[in-house]
Amino acid sequence: MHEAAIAEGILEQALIAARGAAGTVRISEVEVELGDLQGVVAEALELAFRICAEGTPAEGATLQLRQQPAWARCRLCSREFAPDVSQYNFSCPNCQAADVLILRGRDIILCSVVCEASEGDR
Amino acid sequence: MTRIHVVENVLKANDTAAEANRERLSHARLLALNLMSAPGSGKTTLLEKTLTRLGPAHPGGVLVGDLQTSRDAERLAGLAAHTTQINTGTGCHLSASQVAAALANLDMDRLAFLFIENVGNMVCPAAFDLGEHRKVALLSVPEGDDKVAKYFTLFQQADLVVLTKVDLLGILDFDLQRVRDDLARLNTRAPFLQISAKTGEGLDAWIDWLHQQRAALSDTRGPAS
Repeated sequence: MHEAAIAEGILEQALIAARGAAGTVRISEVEVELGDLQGVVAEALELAFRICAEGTPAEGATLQLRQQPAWARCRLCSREFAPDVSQYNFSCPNCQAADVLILRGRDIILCSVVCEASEGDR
Repeated sequence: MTRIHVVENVLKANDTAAEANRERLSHARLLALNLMSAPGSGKTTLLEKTLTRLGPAHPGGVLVGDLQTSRDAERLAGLAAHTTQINTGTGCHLSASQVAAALANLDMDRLAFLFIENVGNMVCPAAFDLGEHRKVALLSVPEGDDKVAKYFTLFQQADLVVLTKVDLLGILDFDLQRVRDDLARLNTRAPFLQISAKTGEGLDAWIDWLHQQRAALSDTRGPAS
């Protein structure tokens, strides 16, 4: 869902970040953390990124994806636990309430970009 | 070769816009609700009944999101104190920036409630904060009792879960207990209301909940302003 919009968001942030490295001619790698609760399909994101990066300094860059597992805190007893997303189970293992504050698992984070300078620099 | 550490939230733009919306709405003591469901669950009909019940004492505004047509806005125009139709074209959900643009044309001080009727879609709206105070997830009896599990993200995030068209419970095969069981593992915080806009069943509880939420909004702001 919305992998194209997410890919464009990643690209935009990556290009902004790359301006911080003087002499960059291309971005060779983009590292992204995907929150489990976002339900992003990796293959769709990779394809979308490959397409929108064409003609930019990030063309051909490897998209390194890493999972951000869901982690929640029970609002009733404060126990922290990993919701079982595949079983759609957000109930607290301690008190059985399903009333959580999601601490992790909802984000899509651009972690880092690898920039390459032109030949002969440095 | 240099690795630059960024650590930037890619979804930040919508979240920032949403927070700004929420600030503005809270400041105006205008309770904003994001109504999300599949197409045809009865959101617009429920709003027709709601606006009539709230009456001029508690003016309600409506922002309606649809890909095309202004039919919903037209239905609600005579009943709401303010109606804006947002046509998204091919967009499958409303965004915070679309809501921000609509808020700019709204006299917020005149309204007690703002109902944001999202695009009919059980997947995407759940991922986009609009700046609302409360998320309302609706499911209608004809859609089937397995939809809470199938679209669990929407129901897990909801502040209120509403089952609509309950006048059809005796007519269609619908296992109400299955819905309760699914909600028990996803979301025990949200009240579960059963409503029939047609017969009026459950409307009182819905209106009461709306008033309670608005009162809670004022409480968090401290002394009366």
